Amino acid sequence: MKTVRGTCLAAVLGVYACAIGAGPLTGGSYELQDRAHAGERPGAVHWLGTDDLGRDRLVRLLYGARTSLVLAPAAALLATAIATFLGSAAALAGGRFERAALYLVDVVASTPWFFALLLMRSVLPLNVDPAVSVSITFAILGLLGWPHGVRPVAARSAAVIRSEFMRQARASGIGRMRLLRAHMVPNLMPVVAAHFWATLPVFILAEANLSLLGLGVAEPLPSLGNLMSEFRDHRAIAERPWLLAPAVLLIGMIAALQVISKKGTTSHDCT
Amino acid sequence: MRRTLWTLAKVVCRTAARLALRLPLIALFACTLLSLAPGFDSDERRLDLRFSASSVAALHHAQKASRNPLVMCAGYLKGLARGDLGESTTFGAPVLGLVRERWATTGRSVLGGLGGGWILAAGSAVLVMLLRSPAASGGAAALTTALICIPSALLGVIVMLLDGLVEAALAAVIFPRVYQYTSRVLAQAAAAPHVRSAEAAGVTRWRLFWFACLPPAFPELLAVAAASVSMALASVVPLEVICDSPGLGQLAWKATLGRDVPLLLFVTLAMTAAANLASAVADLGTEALARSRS
Repeated sequence: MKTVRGTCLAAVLGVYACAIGAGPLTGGSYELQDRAHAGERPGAVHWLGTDDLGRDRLVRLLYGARTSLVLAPAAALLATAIATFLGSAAALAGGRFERAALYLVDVVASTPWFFALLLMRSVLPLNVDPAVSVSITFAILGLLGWPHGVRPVAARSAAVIRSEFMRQARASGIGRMRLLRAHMVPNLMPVVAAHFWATLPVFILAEANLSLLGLGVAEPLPSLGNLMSEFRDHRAIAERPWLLAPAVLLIGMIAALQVISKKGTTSHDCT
Repeated sequence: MRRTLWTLAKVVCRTAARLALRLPLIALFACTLLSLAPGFDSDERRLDLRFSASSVAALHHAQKASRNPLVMCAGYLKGLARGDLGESTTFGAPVLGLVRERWATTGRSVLGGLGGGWILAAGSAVLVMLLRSPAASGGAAALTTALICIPSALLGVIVMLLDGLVEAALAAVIFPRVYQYTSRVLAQAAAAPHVRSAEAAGVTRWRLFWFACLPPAFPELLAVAAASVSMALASVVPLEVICDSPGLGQLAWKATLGRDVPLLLFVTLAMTAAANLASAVADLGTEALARSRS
């Protein structure tokens, strides 16, 4: 299992390196159009062929991977930070406030996630730059992905606050900041990390679903999701199987992330 | 008997009251999401060159005034109570009529998908548990992990390529998630000391499953069933769009593209109500089970 996890980690790091270094690696831009070679099959010049506008598919795949794989962890971090803040605040306040806060969290969590995404997506500004659209898409994911993490964080925080070692530390006169740094944070880390690792693949998949439906990252900026929007004409896949490259990369990355994060994660509404 | 019925009626009333309290809160959450969205006060009409500067300013002012989520929610709930769900801006038709035309399609897809997914998942979990073969459990784990890694929209594409139905795609979305929970719950029940000692005493695996593993796992399986309804409702949007099935998911997608807030708000509330209803029914089942045991 250790070898498999190590291989997956190496693969993920390799893809990240290629995605982040997409510019220098390809020497081209994802917008560059070679109109003379539009809709070409894979060959020596364009390894994955070109799209209908003559853009190199491999270059766009690397840039698309960068968009999805760099911004999804940022959104997962945002969701985890909100969950940690709300969960620990509820546990610290305790009593009625904790019960009321957790009830509201349950109400929010009971809303099917994809519909909440659609609600926010439906009223986005009309004329936005692709860079703004991608930021908004991932910000929405981060702002809506926290509810499932609040209860575990609150439960863990409450357990740590009421623990013997915390009482002893408080009785010994240790300051609040030190208590937080030396006792709370290390004890909360496993739960927080589990939420982060559980939401990361969910966000990559959510972006793919949204973009495949034309509601995610806007053209010409590529993402793994909007590169797959060509699949909506499903007959094209049988004729041009190299179109599947973004799907293969996405599935491989999610599978590798699942293997890496297998220990102690709880997956939720992962559509 | 009368006492049991009275207790059950009380539990049902309590659950219904909880659900009734939840719905306005969900509406408020949805209105808050809308009002917080960065483009809430943008209006397509503001791009229309026929509108003068003062008309555009008036439109902007009107949009800004309706940004308070409490006011928006109160207005919406008042309309809902009167049976007025508003008019769809995309279709130019009453929201209720549009939903009425399509809910049966979505209902059929969800029921079919849930049924198929659960039969596959529960069947595989029970089979893996009875066989106790590392190859079977490894194979099932690999298959479910692979399926979980595929976006539901892509599963829809694959099903379309195979000339399948939305129900099949939905079953493929539900199966891996339910399998992972179900097999974990059953494995926990099978690892209990009394089950192990019974097995050592020669009780058959099937009897053990039926009498010792399933009853304690049942409340958790009910909770998984409720969660799977929510999963199915969330997956219905990409699947109905990809498979071109005229249900509520496709309607929600069209409403999103057309910035049709009244329609999208009602579909979201209806879907959330359905998910909450499933959860309430699961809670009722768990409570009834606990009472019958005590």
